[in-house]
Amino acid sequence: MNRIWNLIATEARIELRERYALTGILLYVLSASFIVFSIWRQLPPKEWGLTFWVIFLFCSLMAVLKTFGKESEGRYFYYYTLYHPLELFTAKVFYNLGLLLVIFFTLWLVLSVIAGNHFLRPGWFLVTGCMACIGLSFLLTFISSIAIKTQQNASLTAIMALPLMIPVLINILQLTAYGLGTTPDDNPWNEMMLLTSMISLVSGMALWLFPYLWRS
Amino acid sequence: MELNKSFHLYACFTRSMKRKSVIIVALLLVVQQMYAQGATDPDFMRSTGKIYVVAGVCIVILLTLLVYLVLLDRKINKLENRRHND
Amino acid sequence: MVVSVSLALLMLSATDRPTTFRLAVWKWGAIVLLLYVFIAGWIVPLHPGIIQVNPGTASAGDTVTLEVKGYNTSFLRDTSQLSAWLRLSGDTVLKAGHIRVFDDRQLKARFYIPAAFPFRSEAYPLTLIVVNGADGASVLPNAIFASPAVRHQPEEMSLWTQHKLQGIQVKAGIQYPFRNILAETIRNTYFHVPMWFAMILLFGVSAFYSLHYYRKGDMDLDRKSVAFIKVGLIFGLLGLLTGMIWAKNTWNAYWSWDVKQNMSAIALLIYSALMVMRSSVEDDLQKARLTAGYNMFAFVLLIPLLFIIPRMTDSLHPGSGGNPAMGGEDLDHTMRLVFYPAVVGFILLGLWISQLVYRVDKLKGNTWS
Repeated sequence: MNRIWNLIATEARIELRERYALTGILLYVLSASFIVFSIWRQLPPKEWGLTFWVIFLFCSLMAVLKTFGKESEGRYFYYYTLYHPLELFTAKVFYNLGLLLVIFFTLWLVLSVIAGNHFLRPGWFLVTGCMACIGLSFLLTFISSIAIKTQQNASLTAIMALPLMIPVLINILQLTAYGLGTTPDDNPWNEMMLLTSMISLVSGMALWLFPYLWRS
Repeated sequence: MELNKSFHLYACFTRSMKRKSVIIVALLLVVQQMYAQGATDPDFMRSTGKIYVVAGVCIVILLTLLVYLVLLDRKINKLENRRHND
Repeated sequence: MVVSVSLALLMLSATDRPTTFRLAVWKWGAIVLLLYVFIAGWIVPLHPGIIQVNPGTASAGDTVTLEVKGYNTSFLRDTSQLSAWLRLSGDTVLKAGHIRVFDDRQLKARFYIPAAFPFRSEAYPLTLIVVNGADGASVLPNAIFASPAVRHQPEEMSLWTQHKLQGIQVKAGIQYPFRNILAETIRNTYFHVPMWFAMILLFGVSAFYSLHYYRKGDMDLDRKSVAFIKVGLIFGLLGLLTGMIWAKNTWNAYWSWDVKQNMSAIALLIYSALMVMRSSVEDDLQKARLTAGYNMFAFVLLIPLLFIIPRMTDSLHPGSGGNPAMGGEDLDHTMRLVFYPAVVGFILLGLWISQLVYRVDKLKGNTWS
């Protein structure tokens, strides 16, 4: 556990040293929501939820894309000898989880400021968002670990990750609609159960397969 | 002798390929005809209890599988030719 | 499922070079089953039914003359028992006062709608039932909607129970059920639906081989799993195309953003991404390993995508509103006799083509290395 924390700290230090990276993501969030809002002019609750997740999707793709991209070949080898793949993976997942949470809260804040906060049940949305961040950070970290081994890293991450994200995203959208009060459905526990089981599936598969894909 | 035989085989294959592509083109024309008819008369596909929808579905399935098989055939052909040339 | 998986294993173990060419038994099985499906799927007639009723509304306390258009009906053949009924529910039925038959497919029936209903509602959906000796009963649910009477006349309540609808003969011979809206396209159950079964099974077999590759690391297993993905994609594409042709003529649009349409399109995207990924890796070992990993990951995610989400959302698909098309009532006994062979036949065909693809890929690998 300590070793994982070390890895995360190193990761964060590198990220903060190159300040443009984190600021870049935040700017991306800001400008994307600004563009969307200037197109729509107003966001009724239903569209608010959809817009939120569309922007979140692309921002998270942007942010996670660089997970394995930063390191040179040499450092991979170094990591491989030093850490167990699972340690490395967990560290990356936690680090990405942090990034996604930052994006989530920033985006929520930005959209609330420019388009208003429409939530009937903000608590539900908070829980949904956190679950989404956990699930997507596992999924995206796993996919980018595959994509890094190919020639077209950036485009392949998007191509492979987007369709895989959709089942999770559909669930999240339903739960968001419940949070916003735009659905007649008043029993979200089914969806919550499905989301939880999908996230555990994704994380379980990713944890199982990553060590196998990593050695090369 | 060896060379002659392989050439003979190659000719056979190209001939069979030609025949196949002729069949495929003919089938395509038939389907196109059918759809063209459907386009001019919007109710054609829906007439007689929409039986033509079922016909269209069957034709699409058969045609796609046939085209796929032809492509596969071509692939095998290339492999065999390469083997003969070696 | 179990049978086909074991068949898949069997066929791939039996690819040793035979001295003389003999088609394997299961391939003959595929041929026979598909022939049977294509013949039986086409020649068995549809049960007589009602395609159209005019007008679609009536008001209570009025006489309404319904223009009825039948499908596959023979109104003229046996007019002895000819009668027409409007059913509100159970035994609450109205009998037509007068029926005029024009030809085998057209008749006019006059009904008097009583100015009283057993329960209160905004509109009363009535089911039209036409009975004759040759066809048995032809039914059209929700044929007309009756609006409540302006002046309620409780004494007319007895009209609803005056006649009893009973003793309907069942039409002799085998036929597929007539379903409103679907009509002949009910036959697509044998052609469109098995595509999805085949696709899911092929992807499943592929994931199985990926698991094997993960354990053993044999390049041959990678070749097998990829062959199954390729053919699975073809079948998925076919399912989508055939579904679109049907949807255009039923829902009036090629794409209606129905849950099942979306989910299956996503499934195809996931596996297409896999093929793109493969093509952009140069090292063969790396390629095989990434394929195995992604394939297993994708297949596990495919299960909620194809089996759970469509069940949780409303779909336009026949037999929907909760349960996808396999519900007991949607698939009657006669249809099962063709549907199950169709599923097995198309699955076997898929396995057959996959085996061919695998053999080609193997030859290709041998010539190059």
